[in-house]
Amino acid sequence: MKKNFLHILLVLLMLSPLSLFALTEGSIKADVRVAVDEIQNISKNSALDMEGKRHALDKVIDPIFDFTLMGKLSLGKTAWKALSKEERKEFVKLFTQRTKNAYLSKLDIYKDEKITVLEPKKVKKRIHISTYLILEGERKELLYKLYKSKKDGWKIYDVDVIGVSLVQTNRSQFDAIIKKSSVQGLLEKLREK
Amino acid sequence: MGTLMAEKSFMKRYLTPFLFLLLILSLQTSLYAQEPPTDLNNTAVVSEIQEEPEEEFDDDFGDDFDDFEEEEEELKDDTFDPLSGYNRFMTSFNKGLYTYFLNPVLIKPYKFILPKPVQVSINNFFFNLYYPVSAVNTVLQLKFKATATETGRFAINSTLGILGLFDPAEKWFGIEAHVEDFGQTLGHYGVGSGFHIVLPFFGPTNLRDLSGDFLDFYVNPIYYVDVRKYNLVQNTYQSWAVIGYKEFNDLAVFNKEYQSMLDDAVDLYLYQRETYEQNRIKDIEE
Repeated sequence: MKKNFLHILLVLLMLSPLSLFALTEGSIKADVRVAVDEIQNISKNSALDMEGKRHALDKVIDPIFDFTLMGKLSLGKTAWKALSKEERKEFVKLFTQRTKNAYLSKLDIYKDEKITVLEPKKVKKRIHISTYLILEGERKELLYKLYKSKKDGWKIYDVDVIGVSLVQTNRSQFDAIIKKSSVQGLLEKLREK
Repeated sequence: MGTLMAEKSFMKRYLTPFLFLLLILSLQTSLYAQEPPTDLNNTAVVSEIQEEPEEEFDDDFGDDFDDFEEEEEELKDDTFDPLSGYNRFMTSFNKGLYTYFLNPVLIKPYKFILPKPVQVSINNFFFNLYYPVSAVNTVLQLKFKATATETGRFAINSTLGILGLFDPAEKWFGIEAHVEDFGQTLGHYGVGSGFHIVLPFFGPTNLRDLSGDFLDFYVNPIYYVDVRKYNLVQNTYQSWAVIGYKEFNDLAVFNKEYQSMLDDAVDLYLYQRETYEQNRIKDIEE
């Protein structure tokens, strides 16, 4: 009886598209597991075309990633301040596109690998959750860093790929480009890609 | 006899300057011992965000980013990069070499002819031969548990895994690889990374790791070392051919990753430098 109830609950959860991929503190590990599996399933699904895949993937990652914050952190306060309202909007849009592409292309490469999700760790007010896969005998780690947003629970604001922070690599690149030209010059570069 | 002489002078010519470089390096680190490496610092700052960052897209920054002010200060402190001009050139050279020659002319046909499992097996074979380097360096760092697991991996993969072509150690026994090189050993004992160097063909490294490589030559079986008894190759040329092929096969196996890295970067040189140095810091910590 209890089992049945759980099954029904699970089915209901699956049916409601919003709650499926929201991250709650108590169940972050399970939530990340679900999201990772879903991304791999979508990437493997040959019935979907590129456009369809992208659409389905957006549904999974949009609610759990905070690309706006990620972009702000990557740019830094000074540079952000130097942008006009329109430029900020454009930056966030370009940045989100780029980051999504980068993230999804990585997961596409590893779509057939078995990904293990480890226990989340509380780091001050943040939560870090590590996932890994074994590639040619070596462990490749992907660590998600989450913060608690005011509205929709926990969200990912940075990703460490084999010990390398995405925000950090972005920052040093963005910073150098800004120093060499200007913030507008950076926008120009982002538009090109 | 002639080759013996040549090898000896090779040692004299290349090893001595590198030992000298190593000495300079260690001096340099003691001089800068007060300042932690900037990369380390930056990563630390990211995880130290105290305030709740805002989640809404708004234009005026509240106090949310006041914490990041420090981080920006940190970043302005430029990394010591005396070779940046050369490094940038070499990064473009390597990228061009891959994009216009290696990938279309060699890697694509190679991948077409050779099935992926064969490429992976070749990769495994060389990876298995790297064992002496990992073994020596785990011992030097007193990481005896890793020495044991690496020895176990080598024993299992060399026998059950048919000369290392397969990786049953990981697949059946769940023993993961723990690679250590001399650059990591130096880092483990506090030697700073020195400046960043981009090598033609081999890509990013730094002064410490490059010096480490020259010492690893002496234990890595695929290099030709005259003073050693267990050479797998006959001479230095063969050794370079083998190394070239190993690197090539490696690139073929991981060429999707390489391509996606080229696509991700806004400034490829800085992206690779940051990625390499941060990754090494992590490797040294482990």
